[in-house]
Amino acid sequence: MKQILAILGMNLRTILARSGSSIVIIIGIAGSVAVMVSLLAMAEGLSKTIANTGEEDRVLIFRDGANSELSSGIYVPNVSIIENMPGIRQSDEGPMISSELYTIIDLKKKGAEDTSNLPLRAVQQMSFKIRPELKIIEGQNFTPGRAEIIVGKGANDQYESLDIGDQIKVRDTLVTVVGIFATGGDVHESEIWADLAGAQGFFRRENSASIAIAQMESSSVITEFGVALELDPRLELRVQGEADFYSQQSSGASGVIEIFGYVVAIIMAIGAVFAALNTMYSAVSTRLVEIGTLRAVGFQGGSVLLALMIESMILALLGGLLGAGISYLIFNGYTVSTLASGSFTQTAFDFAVTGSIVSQGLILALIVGFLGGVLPARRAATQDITEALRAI
Amino acid sequence: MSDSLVSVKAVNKTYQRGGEKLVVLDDLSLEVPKGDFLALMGPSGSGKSTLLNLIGGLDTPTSGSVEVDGERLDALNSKALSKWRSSHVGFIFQFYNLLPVLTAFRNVELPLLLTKLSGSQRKQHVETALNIVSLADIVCDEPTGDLDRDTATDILNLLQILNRDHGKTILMVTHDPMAADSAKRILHLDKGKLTH
Repeated sequence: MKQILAILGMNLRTILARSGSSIVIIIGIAGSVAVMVSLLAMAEGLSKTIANTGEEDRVLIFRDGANSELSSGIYVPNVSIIENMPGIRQSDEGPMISSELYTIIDLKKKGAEDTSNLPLRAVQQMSFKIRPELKIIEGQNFTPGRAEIIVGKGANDQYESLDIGDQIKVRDTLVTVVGIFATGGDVHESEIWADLAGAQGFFRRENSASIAIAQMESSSVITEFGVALELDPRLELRVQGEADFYSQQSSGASGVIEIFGYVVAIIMAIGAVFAALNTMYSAVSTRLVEIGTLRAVGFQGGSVLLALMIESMILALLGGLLGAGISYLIFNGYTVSTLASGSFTQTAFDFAVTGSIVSQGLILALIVGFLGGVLPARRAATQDITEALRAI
Repeated sequence: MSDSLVSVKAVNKTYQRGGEKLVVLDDLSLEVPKGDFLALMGPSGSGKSTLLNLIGGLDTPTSGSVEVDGERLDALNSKALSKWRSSHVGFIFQFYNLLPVLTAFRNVELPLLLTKLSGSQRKQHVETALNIVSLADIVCDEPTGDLDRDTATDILNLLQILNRDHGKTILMVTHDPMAADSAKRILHLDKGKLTH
């Protein structure tokens, strides 16, 4: 250990003298780590946003065979059959079940030339009781029967013409923004909400909706409720827990970004390994006589190897910390939106640079440092001493 | 037990260069008694530095044996040789091989890091400039090769003091006749063999 520390101390003292080549390692690794951390933070943010949506004791009711709200269609009068089934919680205003129409309108995102898909959810008043997490944070709620909408704060951040008082065209009808709402950072903040009856008119959907949402007495009754409903030949519907549905939605989208992040980071890391190899080989060759002298006076090859490996990994760790730090400063909490899988709509979310992601970045850096250092260090440790001493 | 500090017996050292076999030391034998001050002379490529490297434990022979202070160096592995060098031998290199990132003090202290001496003991050794002589016998490869005449004379006087007053055994490779004259014995090598 004493030998390793002595050699390491000497090597670290020369880092400033070799600042140019040391910086190549640090910057190269910082780039790889920054890209990986940023992409994983994006995947994490999207996953959190979607997966945080939904409660364990709420269910979504789809047309049998539909696996998304957009592809689902239900006949609203049938909901009166469902509302009398056991398991649905009762409130002062009746059974807690509400039909919702989920569709897409086109609107320009801020600073964009083209329009993007913006999800519109048309709801009955019971939806607000079923989803108490929805809070009007600015303005007021829409009045049923009037051409009014409320806007999620994510959609308000991302799209043009969604401030209070603005009017947008929904099919042939001009609707007015009367309020902004928040839902605790979940996916609904990327939506605009309207009254179901009005929206059925805009979209000429008469008595149809996309899904129904129901508040159950508890999560334990969901299975029994689902079996009863799915076995009813009049309905042809299927039931899925709300939390389960959004968790399933998140795994696809964030999974793709995650895989992309790892692939890009690994490609960049391979480049960084070569930069580290080059720098460490150069560091070893410029110190060949020093290393030969150390070994001549009795320092062991293994100590030389370990000291050089530690040096390489210290440089890599510095690069990793720099890359993760850059990613954190620039991206953590940064809000973007992306096309969500299944719904083909824009979902706004915040990048989330978590401790786990930073750890993965630092592990990548250490792997690069190890791979970049091991061959040059091995060369230094096994180099013939007499040849090293002649290298002056 | 013989009085020899160094006993080199029937040593061969060859290198393979492509298809060619290069004989550097050819069946060479040498005895160096304790307290000797031996100068090895010879033309470039005669094998004198290689012989010095074998005796200093920096290299191993292709065949034959090298025994120093009762230890068969040719039988030791790399790790054991490192340990042996750290406690038995001091080196004076032609180009000093000082480590530029270390102070003069730290350069002298460096070999002592491999001993069991405490920090204060190492400091004492370095300050009294006795670290080398207290721990090791000495091999010198062209110790005056890169020095001006006055400094070379000082170094040779120092080596004579170490040999005469401290009983250190010194092996020195040199091209310099003045340096060789400081030694008690001079041996000549040519083409890997001792000539006289």
